[in-house]
Amino acid sequence: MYKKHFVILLLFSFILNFAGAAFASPSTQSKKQAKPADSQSAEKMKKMQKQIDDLQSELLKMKDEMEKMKAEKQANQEKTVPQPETSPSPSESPAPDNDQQELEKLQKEMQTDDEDSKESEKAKPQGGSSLNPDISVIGDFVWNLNHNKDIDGGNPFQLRELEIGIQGNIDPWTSMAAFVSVAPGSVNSKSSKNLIYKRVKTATSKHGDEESGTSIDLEECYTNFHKLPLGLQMKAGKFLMNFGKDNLLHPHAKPYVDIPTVVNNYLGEEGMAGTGASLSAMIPLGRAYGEITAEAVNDENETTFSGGTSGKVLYNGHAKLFTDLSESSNIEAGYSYMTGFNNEDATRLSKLQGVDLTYRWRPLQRGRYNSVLVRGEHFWSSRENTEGRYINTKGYYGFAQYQLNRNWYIGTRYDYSEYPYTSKLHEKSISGILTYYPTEFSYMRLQYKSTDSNYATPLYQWLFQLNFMVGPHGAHKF
Amino acid sequence: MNKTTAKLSRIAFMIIALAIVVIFSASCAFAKMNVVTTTPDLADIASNIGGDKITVVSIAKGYQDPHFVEAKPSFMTILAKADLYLVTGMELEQGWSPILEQGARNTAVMKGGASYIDCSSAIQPLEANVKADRSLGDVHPYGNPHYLLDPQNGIVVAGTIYKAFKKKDPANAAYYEANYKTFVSALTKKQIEWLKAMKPYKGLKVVTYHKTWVYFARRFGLDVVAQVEPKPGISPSPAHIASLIKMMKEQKVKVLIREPHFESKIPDMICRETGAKQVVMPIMPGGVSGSNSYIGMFDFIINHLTAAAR
Repeated sequence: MYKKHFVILLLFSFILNFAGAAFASPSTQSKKQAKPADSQSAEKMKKMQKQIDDLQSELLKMKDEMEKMKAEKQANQEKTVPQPETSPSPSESPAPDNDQQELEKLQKEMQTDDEDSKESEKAKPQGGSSLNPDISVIGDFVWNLNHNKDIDGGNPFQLRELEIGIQGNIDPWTSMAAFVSVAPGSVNSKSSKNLIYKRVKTATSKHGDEESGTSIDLEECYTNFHKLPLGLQMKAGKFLMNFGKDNLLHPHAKPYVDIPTVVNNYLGEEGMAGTGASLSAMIPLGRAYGEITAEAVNDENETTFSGGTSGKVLYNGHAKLFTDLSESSNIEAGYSYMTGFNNEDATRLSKLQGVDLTYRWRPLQRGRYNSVLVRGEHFWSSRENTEGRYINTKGYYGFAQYQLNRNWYIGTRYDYSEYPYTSKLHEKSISGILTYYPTEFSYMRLQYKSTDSNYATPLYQWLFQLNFMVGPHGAHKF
Repeated sequence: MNKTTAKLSRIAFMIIALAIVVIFSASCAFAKMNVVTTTPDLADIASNIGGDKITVVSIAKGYQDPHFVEAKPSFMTILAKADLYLVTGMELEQGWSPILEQGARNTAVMKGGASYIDCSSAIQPLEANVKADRSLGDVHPYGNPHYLLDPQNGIVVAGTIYKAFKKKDPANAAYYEANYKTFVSALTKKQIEWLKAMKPYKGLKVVTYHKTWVYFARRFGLDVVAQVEPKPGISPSPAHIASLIKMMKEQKVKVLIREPHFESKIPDMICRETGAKQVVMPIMPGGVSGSNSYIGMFDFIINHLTAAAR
């Protein structure tokens, strides 16, 4: 029943979107032409492309000539104060004439024109590069300071990943984003990307064990329909599931070197991304903000679900509520529910629920220097086993961070987690984290983590992380 | 069976009634144009031109750093109801506005939409076309975005906003025109006053915290010798501060300008060492108390700057 409704909703939104696009777009024809079915039309396309290129180069030439003419014109008018073309010239300025004249005289007297403050031409995109998508490249390097081969395996230095992010608008209605992660494969299964050691045999995932050499992972690749009617938005492709808060953060955006144990144990060592579709709606609640999201993806996740062997779809729903408490503080609460099959025959169900709570404080005036973030997430899992019984397990973490000044952050996290298939094994850990941001584009982080469990010897880790990025100044997710 | 159909039709009736109420109240709300701006300077200029025909709200506060506003979901609900969205442009709001635009689910206010007005469209930028490279700090390749600190650019922006209002709400075009003329002639008169006040201090050497004052300095004849930040967005290092103090002493720089959202510890120390006076100058209306309008902000700046230079 639930499934049926979802499918209908999805279909409906598709139809509405296409109807909207058809109304708004004057040339649906050109869209069709963009997909040549045979070689003939491909040739046509080539011809057209050439024509377009010719026209473009001609246009650029003309532009250059116009710029030259403009420059000459300006040189002739040097006597007058340089005025932007569109600003009201004396004759059309609505200010009284004598005022205007006096102002111009004064302006001319006072204006300083040293090298720094020369008026520049409007910045022009160079060689059509403005149509290129935004590309950002992030490197993530980790050093395991008290590395011990017998316990940790692998090597003390790890280049965890190189993340390449590509984002841009496709047309007025849709945009796309893709994130590719390149990493040197781990030689030893014990040395995992998130530095949470797999000490339980059964928890070890199937792949990644014998790999060596470079691995390329598609973290996310989706198109975003952001102009659907009724304020709906839809994502289609592969994306991070909207389950809790931590799972939506890319590795470099997480405020710790590792990831919370509960996220690792239930959603996977790199969080959970799924291939499918996501539909979300905003619910205005006066001054508060509400949002609900429904997602359907392949059940490729193997920590909680079947790892793609069941051939079924798993469903995820998320509700979010945000409200300002004051000008500088706010609170956000969320509830997530995910369900799918956990075996190949698609006979046994797994259900995962989560609540998340986030408190933020950042004074407006000194927002660059001080801030507080407190976050907690709790997961409950219910997993049907071979005997048809449900195993109920849980895990949670609490994280707090204080920004000391413009560059330094200090934080702490407490983790507790069981495993989806048993509540008898559990892990507890406590971390202290210190981060230094020289600029917004890089950081250095030191984390001390002490892990205790009821099935293995305690573990003490000192981890150092260096993260660096180049690319356009992206917007900061909140 | 009959009972359920009756019940259903009652529910349907209630839904329709509710829809009518919602639509009616929505159309009532449209009676006043709902203008949202990214910064309070734009909000003040807009309210001068729109008068009582508009409601206007700014997302950033005057005492906030306009580069670093958090893209809070509560701003999305404000933007969702906007009829016009005015932005400063030149990448000033790049770190937060795109998220709000997408989150607001109001297609008209997204970049490229009919209600998205980039107020820098008619501005002649300064410091544009520098090779955008992060070794220079956090630079804006489209030019320094603090252009509203030149009152002449305020006049240009008033023109852009007036045109946008006229287009969006042609019924009140005459009203907007009259307000626009009043505002421009007031700003012209004031500008003459400010320029006259600054005339004795032409060529005044100043140090500023951030590269905020390029347009202001050019208009009012200031000589900005250096910044407390070694490069835009980079926090001052001890070595840089030491060389800055030495240079300020050599060049006899007497004024240090600090924007209200920057810390005061380092500027205080520099001023103690060099004997320079520190002036806290708002970069947007509301930046410090007593500077609540665009014109009031310049009054405040000129008063305090001339007092420090004296």
